[in-house]
Amino acid sequence: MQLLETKVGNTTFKNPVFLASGTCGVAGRELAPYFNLNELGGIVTKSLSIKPRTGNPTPRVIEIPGCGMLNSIGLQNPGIEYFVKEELPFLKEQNATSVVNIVGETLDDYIQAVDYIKNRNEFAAIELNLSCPNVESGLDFSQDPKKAFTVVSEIKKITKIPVWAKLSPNVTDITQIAKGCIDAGIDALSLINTVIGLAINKWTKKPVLPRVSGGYSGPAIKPIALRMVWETYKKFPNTPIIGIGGIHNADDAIEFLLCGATCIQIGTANFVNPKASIEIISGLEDYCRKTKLSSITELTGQAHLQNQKTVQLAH
Amino acid sequence: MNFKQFLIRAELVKNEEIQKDYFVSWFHSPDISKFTKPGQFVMMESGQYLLRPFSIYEIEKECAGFLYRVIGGGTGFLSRLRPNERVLIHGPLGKGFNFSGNKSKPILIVAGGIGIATFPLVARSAFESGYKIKTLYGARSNNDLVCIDQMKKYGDIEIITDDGSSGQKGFVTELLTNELNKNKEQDIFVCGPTPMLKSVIKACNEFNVTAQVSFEEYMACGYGVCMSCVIKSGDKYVRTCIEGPVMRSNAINF
Ligand SMILES: Cc1cc2nc3c(=O)[nH]c(=O)nc-3n(C[C@H](O)[C@H](O)[C@H](O)COP(=O)(O)OP(=O)(O)OC[C@H]3O[C@@H](n4cnc5c(N)ncnc54)[C@H](O)[C@@H]3O)c2cc1C
Ligand SMILES: Cc1cc2nc3c(=O)[nH]c(=O)nc-3n(C[C@H](O)[C@H](O)[C@H](O)COP(=O)(O)O)c2cc1C
Ligand code: FES
Repeated sequence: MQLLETKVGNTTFKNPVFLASGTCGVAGRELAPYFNLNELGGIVTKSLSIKPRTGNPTPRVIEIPGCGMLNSIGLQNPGIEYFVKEELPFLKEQNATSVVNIVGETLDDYIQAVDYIKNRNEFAAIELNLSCPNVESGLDFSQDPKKAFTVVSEIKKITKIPVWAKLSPNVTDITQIAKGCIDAGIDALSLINTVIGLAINKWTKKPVLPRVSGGYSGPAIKPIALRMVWETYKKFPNTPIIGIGGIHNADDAIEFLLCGATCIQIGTANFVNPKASIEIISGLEDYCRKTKLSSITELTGQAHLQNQKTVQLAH
Repeated sequence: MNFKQFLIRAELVKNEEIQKDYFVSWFHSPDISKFTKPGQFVMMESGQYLLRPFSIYEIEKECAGFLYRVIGGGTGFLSRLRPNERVLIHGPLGKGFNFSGNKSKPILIVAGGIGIATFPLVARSAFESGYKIKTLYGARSNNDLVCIDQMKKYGDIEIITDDGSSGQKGFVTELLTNELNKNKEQDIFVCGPTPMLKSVIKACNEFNVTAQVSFEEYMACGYGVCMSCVIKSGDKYVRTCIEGPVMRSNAINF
């Protein structure tokens, strides 16, 4: 077994590092010039809906100095059909592993979009975006355990592709939503999507983003994400967790793994460094060697153990 | 794949304050210098979280220069960089200006404010290829006029300021209207703040001419992955960092 090889359910990935939805174009094409896309554990597509979506008016992004950024893209995407026809062949050509991220406003939207791809064998998983904060109805599915249960069980009925649910941090207790998904047979949980936030322009005296609030991402949300991974792993240690939120380097990634994540996704970091993800892969490999791990999978959840030994580095 | 974009930690060669609050930073960046086309930009690490977009102002041998006005944390950081310090530069990015190939058709440059920064390289390249060039340049005041001597090397220049402290008093659109009344057969290249772009495009539409316009939308990534920098074209939002920053005025509904 390779040092970085990882399993989510029965699916094996080359390594635990993925590109997060919405931070690598529609499906990673723009990153291909910087490294081979097949060096990644996988690529998660932009959230795709049954019909194309035009997205929100501009400005769509504002930096939060030193902390990250707020976005309100509004799920602009070319639709699932376009993706399958125009982008998927490119991913196959690159021999890249892909996870298709699906979004909908209604249960029926999710079902229709998944129906379109349910029998294809190219996808390592379907990630259901239950949690986009930038559309009217976007948070419903990730704020109510019953609704989460319903959408996951309906999708599980129609496809054999493993299903991951991407949850929102904008809830009182994320483990309740996780439980709804687990009861419905989810294969993995992706934690977390962006945190709802707001910024005001002191000159116009109005919110910067036309839709008032937006999704906060970047370094500032890492502690929030880590705690949600921690709580979820503690309650449901048998459900694989994909950790997401503010990961910029291998150290960040290691924190997530120790907290309970099996894999991690790189989001906003791609904006400031297109090579962030492959630098993280080599950083993880370094760490494994330095700490004499035989497999990166040994890290998952270790921070929960009682008698941890501090790593002594050989100098 | 046609790929000539680089991600380099470039070394600052020198920082010049050419006028109060206006700086030119020169970086040693042989790859960027070699492959830049006039009108392209880079994303530059600027001591903030996101990188910042800057037009490539000039190329001198293995160095690329960036002209900017200090308006915030990022531009302030760059202006204080010292020789030998390094920052991450990602580029050259986007699509620049297209020269028509028809050398008897003059190029008319319309610049507003710091939008002038993109034109010295454009004008020099066009001049060296044998095009006739004229520049119309509008700024807030006398204190905000830069690059004039440089632009004069390549052709005539007309100046207009909001307060009349230099040249005529008024907006650059007025100079454009005069010019188009004289001769519509010119290739129009535009860069400036959004309100100015709007009025320039309106004027072009009235004269039924198409301009090449360089847009300066807010860019988080600069290479097509975030969808922040979009502008409406027909019923779709397109990415100005990929389809632009230079786009045809008739492709945009502003
Ligand atoms: C393609 C392109 C080329 C540009 N070329 C030049 C140039 O050659 N010279 C020059 O002086 N300026 C140029 N700009 C504008 C320049 O990017 C901003 O001045 C700079 O980002 C300000 O950063 P700051 O941290 O100093 O200011 P901040 O305090 O962060 O912001 C001040 C203002 O700058 C603008 N701005 C901030 N961040 C961005 C961003 N990521 N994308 C676009 N605008 C932003 C916003 O309007 C903001 O209100 C260009 C912008 C674009 C999109
Ligand atoms: C500009 C932008 C667009 C995003 N679009 C999507 C999306 O379409 N679907 C989705 O599930 N998550 C989307 N996300 C959320 C990210 O995938 C990720 O969960 C979040 O940004 C937190 O990770 P980060 O801090 O590493 O960016 C988007 C994030 C950003 C910044
Ligand atoms: S700036 Fe990110 S897509 Fe253009």
